[in-house]
Amino acid sequence: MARRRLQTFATALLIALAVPATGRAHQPVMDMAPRWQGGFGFQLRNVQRSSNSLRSGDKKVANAQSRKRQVNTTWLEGVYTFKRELRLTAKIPWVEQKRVFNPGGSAIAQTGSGVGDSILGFQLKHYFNRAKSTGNVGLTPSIRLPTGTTSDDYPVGDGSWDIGISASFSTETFFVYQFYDLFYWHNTKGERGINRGDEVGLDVNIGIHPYHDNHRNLGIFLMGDLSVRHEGRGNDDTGGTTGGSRISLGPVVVGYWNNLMFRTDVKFPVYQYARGTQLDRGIEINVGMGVAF
Amino acid sequence: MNKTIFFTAILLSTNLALAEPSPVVLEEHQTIIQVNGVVCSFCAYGAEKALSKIDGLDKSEFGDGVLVDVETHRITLAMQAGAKIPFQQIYQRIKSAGYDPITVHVRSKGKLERSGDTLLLRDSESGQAFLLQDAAKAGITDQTSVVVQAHFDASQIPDLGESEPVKVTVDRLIGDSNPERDGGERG
Repeated sequence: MARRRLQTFATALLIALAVPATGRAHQPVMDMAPRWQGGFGFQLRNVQRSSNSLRSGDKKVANAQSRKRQVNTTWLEGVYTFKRELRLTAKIPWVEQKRVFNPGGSAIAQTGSGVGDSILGFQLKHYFNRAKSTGNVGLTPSIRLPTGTTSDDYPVGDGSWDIGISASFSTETFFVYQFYDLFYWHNTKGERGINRGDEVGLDVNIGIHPYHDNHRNLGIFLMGDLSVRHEGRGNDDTGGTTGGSRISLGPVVVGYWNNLMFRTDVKFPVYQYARGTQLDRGIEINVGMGVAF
Repeated sequence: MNKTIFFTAILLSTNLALAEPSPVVLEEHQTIIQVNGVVCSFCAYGAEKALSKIDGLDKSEFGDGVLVDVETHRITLAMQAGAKIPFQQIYQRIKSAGYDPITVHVRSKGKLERSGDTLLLRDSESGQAFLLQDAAKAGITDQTSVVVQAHFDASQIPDLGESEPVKVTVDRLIGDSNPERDGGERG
């Protein structure tokens, strides 16, 4: 048993070190697990996105000064299940980012790195079990703490305390998995003139479970991801006007082996609308792994 | 083309959802629990982890004595020969793992004790007692010892006393004997 546990830890550690990871800040840290009382889990996710495409409204515009942006965020996330109906989640991002920006008319390179703004969530969940399905309904009030520094040229935090709420529903049969999450963030005014608008969004994952091995508890899910976002107009004295809307679609692959879970997804923007003139969101690549005990 | 793929997927998933469950077949010293909600593959680990700590498991089977089948929603426990099946522990551990036990299937071999209308089967290895119901339908009449597969509703477990016999419905007579009738054991 000790050997098996050691192997599990070693595998988790290897994968955690080997993969760049990603994730969406508002989503639950692991959805169906750990649902057992006293269960806990960790997740490492890396989100990479970059863009060199300028947009004004829903139109692409010329990027004469070669503005660009690259953001790499690695989230360390934890969940503790007090009892089936109540979980505490914590998410701490490490951000490495750079951009070419033109605050005074001439293009300059700016960077920022360090711990970003962390999120604490208190998940209230109601699980239901039926003969051939299981699922849960969740309500998650969250708070985003100003743990990120605002001192870099390209700040990794905004210095504000923000509050959010998400309502989620997921259900799973042996063959089909569905997840829906609707969320709202109220962003308050931060430091250095960073005052982002409130954000509302919807995430949908629907997919199939084509392979499962009972003896090894090993399997995969193949899903599609839909992400819809709308952020009200805001301002950032370090970066200009903020806000806009977007819709992304993309594939998701999830694998699991006993208490280990791996996820990768890619988000391709299919619609984008920018307030003012901004770099667009670009393609997002997410890779992550989690372990539950 | 896309519509064809979409409707095929819907049909496939519907067929899978409506498929009749396969009959429960127990090997010697096995117990199977039908559990609502055990379709969640990643968290099947939680159920297995919780049940692997119960008393009397034969850990040489399935790696840890527990096999979770997320397709049939059944959990199979391999018990050691002579071990009593700890129904209370099983029930509590499945509940605390986040699932709902519905039906428990057991297999037992032992002598029959008759008292009026009641028929008690005492397992010859563990001494665990089962009150047999619908025994005649399964072909149990004048036998003195039997091997049976039976089931009972898991909801009776919380109210079950420590040494109280479990009321079970006989599904299948696997073997029987009546020395006075046929001079030996069959099956």
